[in-house]
Amino acid sequence: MHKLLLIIKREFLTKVRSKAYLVLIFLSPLLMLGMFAAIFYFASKEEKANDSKISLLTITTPEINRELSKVHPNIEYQQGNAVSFNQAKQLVDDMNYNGLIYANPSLDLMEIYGDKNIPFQSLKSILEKHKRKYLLAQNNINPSLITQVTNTQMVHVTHKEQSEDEIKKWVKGTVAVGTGYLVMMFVIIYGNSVMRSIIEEKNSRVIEIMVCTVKPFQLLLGKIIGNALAGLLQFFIWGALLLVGLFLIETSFPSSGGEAEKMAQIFTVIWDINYLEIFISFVLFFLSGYLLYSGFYASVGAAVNSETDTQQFVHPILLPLMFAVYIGIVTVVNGNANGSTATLFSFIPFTSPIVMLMRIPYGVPTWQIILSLALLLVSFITTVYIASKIYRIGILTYGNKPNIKQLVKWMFQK
Amino acid sequence: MLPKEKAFMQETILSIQNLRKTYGAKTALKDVSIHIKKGTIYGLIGQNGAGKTTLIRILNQIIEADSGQILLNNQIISPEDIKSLGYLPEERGLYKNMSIEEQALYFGQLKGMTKTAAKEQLNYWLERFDIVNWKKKKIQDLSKGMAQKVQFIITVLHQPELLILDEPFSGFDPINAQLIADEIKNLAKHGTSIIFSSHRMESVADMCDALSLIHHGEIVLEGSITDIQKKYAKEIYEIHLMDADKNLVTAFLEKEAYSTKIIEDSAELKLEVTKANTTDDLLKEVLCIGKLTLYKQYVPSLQEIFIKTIENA
Repeated sequence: MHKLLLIIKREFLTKVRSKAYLVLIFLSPLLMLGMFAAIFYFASKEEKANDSKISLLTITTPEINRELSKVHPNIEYQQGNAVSFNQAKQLVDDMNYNGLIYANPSLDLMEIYGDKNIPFQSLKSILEKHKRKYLLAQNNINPSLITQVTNTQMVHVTHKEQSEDEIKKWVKGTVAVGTGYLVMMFVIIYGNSVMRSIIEEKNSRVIEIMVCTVKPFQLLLGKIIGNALAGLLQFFIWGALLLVGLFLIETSFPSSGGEAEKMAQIFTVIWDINYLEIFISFVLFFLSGYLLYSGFYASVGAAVNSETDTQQFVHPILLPLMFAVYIGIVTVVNGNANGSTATLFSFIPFTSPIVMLMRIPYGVPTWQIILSLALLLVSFITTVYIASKIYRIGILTYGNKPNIKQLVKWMFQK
Repeated sequence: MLPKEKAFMQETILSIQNLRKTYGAKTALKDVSIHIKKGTIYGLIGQNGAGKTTLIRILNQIIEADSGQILLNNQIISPEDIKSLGYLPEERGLYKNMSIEEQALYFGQLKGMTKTAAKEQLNYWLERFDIVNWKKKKIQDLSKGMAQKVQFIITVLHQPELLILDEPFSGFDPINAQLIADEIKNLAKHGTSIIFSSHRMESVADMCDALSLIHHGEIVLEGSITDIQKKYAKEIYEIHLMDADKNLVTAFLEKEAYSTKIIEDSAELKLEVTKANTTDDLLKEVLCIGKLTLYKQYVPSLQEIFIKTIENA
């Protein structure tokens, strides 16, 4: 036990003292925030700029031209000479305009022609309004009544505020995707870390001294636990940073104004989340998922001679992890969290650490969580046991590139 | 060779009995038995793939033997005995990003030492090698020779009863190799038993009291170095004669009691004579043939003995 603690301590300290770890902990959240901010910034800029890219050829009355410029000031207008509709269409195609407004209410010409980028609905209602005005005037209707009848603001539309349920759904979805993605990322990062640590010991030949000092299983277990602790520490720090960040956003956001009420509502939902439950489930599912996959990573590390040889073995490990996140997004977040597909994948050990964790914010019966964890427990004991068998032989085997058949042979070698 | 008069030399520290190990169809060790006395340096030699590494790994309890047993101090070896063993593998290796001190404390504690004891021993060895100011240096910042010294310190830090050294001089310059050789001899003098595995026969001859030659998993030669050399030295003589009588030489060459080879036949006749019958008095006979200028019992080097043994195996 004392030896195991020494190994865990060494692995943990080596990991947390490395520059890569510090970069991962403090720099990568900043990079991620920066990336989201940049995406958000460019997306909103793009949206605003959309109208300004449109050019229209207008062959219409001065009134309609005036209204078009008023409603869509960013569109570039080119007033054309009186030509036939077909000629005008040809001109639009030749000169690469986005569209054509060919309208004259008195001549019964009301045509819009153009590509999908032009705001058809809005242009159509402008032309319809002018046609109505013309028809009413033709029938000697009082001009003030005409103005009232054709007023587009006749109906006042108010968009319904997002209900608390919708906000809750959105927050739950974010938590689910966030935790699922984190587990995938952590399993990959720390599984790789175990693999690299084994390859390093094998390459530097320090393994020869280690295995005559401690049992290979102790060394493997120490490595796995040491890296898991480094992973948990990273999760605590990120969790704390996230909570502090959310608190700062809440306090710095203006308490009055258009969006204030909505933000307050969102924050009420955010602070309503049971963080203890999320924390405990993350720790349990991250640990069991990590233990399950670290067995595979350790076997790969013990079998190969250098990191470049790991590619062919590591790909099959990544696939179920990625699959779990996608299946989680499709069936849990955008589907039914308690549907049969989501439930099934939250029991299969290769996907359950991610899918079950994604289901938890939506409410999962306790027996399902316990069953999922029990299945994971059995699975990770099996993979770590198999890994220790492969590890025991692999770490002292140099030179040859083993295949699956050889790995199976190592499992039974005395 | 060191004088061995201490009482502890009479006790057997390690007794390997009928050890057998197979890897699939390949037999790595066939009924290997070795007995090592306390405080001696025991050579373990053999070609690559002869079974030395397998034997060392079984001793270190890294792998298990199929049959046979190992007794350490007359008790069947157990995982607890790991702290009594020190192992310097041929392929050296330490954690590159750890300092010498961290490394020594880590390995020392893994071998059952307290932190304080490990620190004390580390200081003792650093002072002995005059490298105290290296303590905080990381292995990656050391030259290969320096790292080898640190590796040696880590191997002996916990004062093991039995040291297993696999090619301990590889990577050292002659001066440092001598320094390490002196330390090994000194450790043996103070009661540490040492298994010295090497291909370099001159260092085996210089360092060891006894040895075993392993070939294809079998011990084909064993015993004390003196006995082995004596055994091979008995048979061959180098004889130089001046003014030799040709007829007497021809008659001597035909004698069945000897197998004689002419090395050179000029002004001086040089012969290599192998005695088949040890009761005959060779010296008396050759004195009759001519004027004897050299009569030397030929002592073959360990290298020659091993090559011959392996060829005959």
